[in-house]
Amino acid sequence: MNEHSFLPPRDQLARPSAELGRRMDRLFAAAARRPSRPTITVFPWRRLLLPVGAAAALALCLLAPWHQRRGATGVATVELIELSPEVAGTASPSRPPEDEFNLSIRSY
Amino acid sequence: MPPITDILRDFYAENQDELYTYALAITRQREAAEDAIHQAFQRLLQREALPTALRPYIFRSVRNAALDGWRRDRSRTDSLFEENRPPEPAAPDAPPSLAAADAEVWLASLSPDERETVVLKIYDDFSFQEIADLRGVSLSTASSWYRRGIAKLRSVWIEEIP
Repeated sequence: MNEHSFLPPRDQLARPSAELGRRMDRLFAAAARRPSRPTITVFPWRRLLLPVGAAAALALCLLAPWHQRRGATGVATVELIELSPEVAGTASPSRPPEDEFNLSIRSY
Repeated sequence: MPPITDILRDFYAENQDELYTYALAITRQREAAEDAIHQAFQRLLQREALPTALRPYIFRSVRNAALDGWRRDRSRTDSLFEENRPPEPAAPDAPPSLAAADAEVWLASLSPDERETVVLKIYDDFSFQEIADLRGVSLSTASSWYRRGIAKLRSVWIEEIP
């Protein structure tokens, strides 16, 4: 014996009306007559987010050391002080250095 | 693969009684139950694709439409059973069952969750897993709703036996 055999059997259940059957027939017929929708192809931008983001992150990682090296080169721009030939042999400790030396600074 | 219209038409032809019983268990009004089924299929026919697990999906669509209708008007209730229809002759050793009118009264006394689960399990042949999927609850919750509902109905039935 089923645990629910005391409930009325299925033949006692209410059934949908004939009117619903007609409404559903009309609904399905109308849907079948409806022209199929054109397929709209949408470019999947969202699917590109992950690979593009990963590529950008990878590019940043690769370029970062190069940036650091370039910055170090830029720091060493003042590196050469030359004495002009005419004053090179006349330097005297009693005269201020700005009068004796013609300084030229070359940058690289 | 056949068009969506054909799939839904075939599904409706095979499951119209079960869908109606389920919708009626929720709305408790015949017109509202029929409107819910019509509205649900109207929405489904607008879709461009259907999921593989069609049965719980369509029953859930009918449930959503039925709940909308139920919220609109709760002034009248109809029975889940056809009270004027004479029952088919039962087997000689079959146990007595509740009369349709009594069963409706006692089913109506269950909580909405218990009533819906009992109807799905007994009259629509849903498994507990399918009920859990349809309702978005755990298997144990669905099972618990059913056990509680059946226990309440059984206690009433035992009292009713002459």
